Amino acid sequence: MPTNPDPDAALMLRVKRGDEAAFAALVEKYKQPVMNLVFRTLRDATEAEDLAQNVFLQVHKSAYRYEVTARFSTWLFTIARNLCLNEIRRRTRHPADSLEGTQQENEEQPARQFEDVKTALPQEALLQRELEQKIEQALAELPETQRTAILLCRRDDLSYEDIAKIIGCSLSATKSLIHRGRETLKLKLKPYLRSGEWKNGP
Amino acid sequence: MNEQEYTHLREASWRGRLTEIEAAQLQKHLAAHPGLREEWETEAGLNQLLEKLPEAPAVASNFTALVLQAVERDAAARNRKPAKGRLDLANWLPKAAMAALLLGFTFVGYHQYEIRNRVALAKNVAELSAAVSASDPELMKDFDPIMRLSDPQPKADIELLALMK
Repeated sequence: MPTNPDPDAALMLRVKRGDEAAFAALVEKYKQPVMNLVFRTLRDATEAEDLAQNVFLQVHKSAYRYEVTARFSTWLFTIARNLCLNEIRRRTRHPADSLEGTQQENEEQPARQFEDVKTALPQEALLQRELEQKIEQALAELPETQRTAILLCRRDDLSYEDIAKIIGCSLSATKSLIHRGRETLKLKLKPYLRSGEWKNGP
Repeated sequence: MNEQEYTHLREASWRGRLTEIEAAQLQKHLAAHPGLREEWETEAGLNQLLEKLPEAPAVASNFTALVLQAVERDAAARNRKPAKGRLDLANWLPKAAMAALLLGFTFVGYHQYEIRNRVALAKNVAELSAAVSASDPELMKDFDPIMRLSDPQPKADIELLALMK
């Protein structure tokens, strides 16, 4: 990208030369975005954080072969997604700690990811929180590729081409995945979208 | 605005807010096609909801420190134990030298054995050829009768049997 150099790619090149401060800067910048993606795939905060750490460890280990062929974030999210898929495969092989089990556990504790302030919240905020949980659930029920594409789509720094690279699909297939995922979300959340309750949020 | 441009605007809306020009184009299109308004409102509603989707739980405050520690641990482990597939010369060199020495001894031994065999063969051939060249042709005169005598099951003399009959 000679016309619009990626500052993160420049940092990564410094990491390649052994600059640990550059690595720390990249971790600081991307820790939460990586966590967002990993958490919505694994649906377990502790495991997601462990895996997010592994993502950055993998980035450091692979630094010696890093080449600026795309945006740094594209490379990073590709690593994150691959590790997520490995974890899902591992869970499939060991059903004792499968995603389903985690989901059930989560359903029993729906407020797991939010601070317990329900009682103190006004009606409007409670409604908003309920909607957020509904969409979290609807997102979790989407196929992995559709969910990942939709989540990456929210990031300003990733173009559709970047998302396609991360997902490993063509551009048109990626747009189709997003479209189908959104259609499913619209069906599941139709009552809320129609009632316009989302407009009442904070 | 044609269908393709509308699709392009819709895809642009998935990624964030439309520019003022795009929004104006869209409003114009929706005014001309009121049937699309409901569909667009649903799209916009979902966009807004996804936009407000909260972040995942915040990572630990010492997340970066933990990652850096993990990197150090990994580097230390790699220094202690060579990576799989990487040649550890200090470990492999004596073994390789010993194997090469054994291979060398085996080769030299086999070579010596071959030489000894060839010398013995040449000696035998020389002795045989000397014996053959020394034999007298007169000695071979009665070779056939002697050979016949040594036959354990002599064939019947058909002519003699006929005469006897």
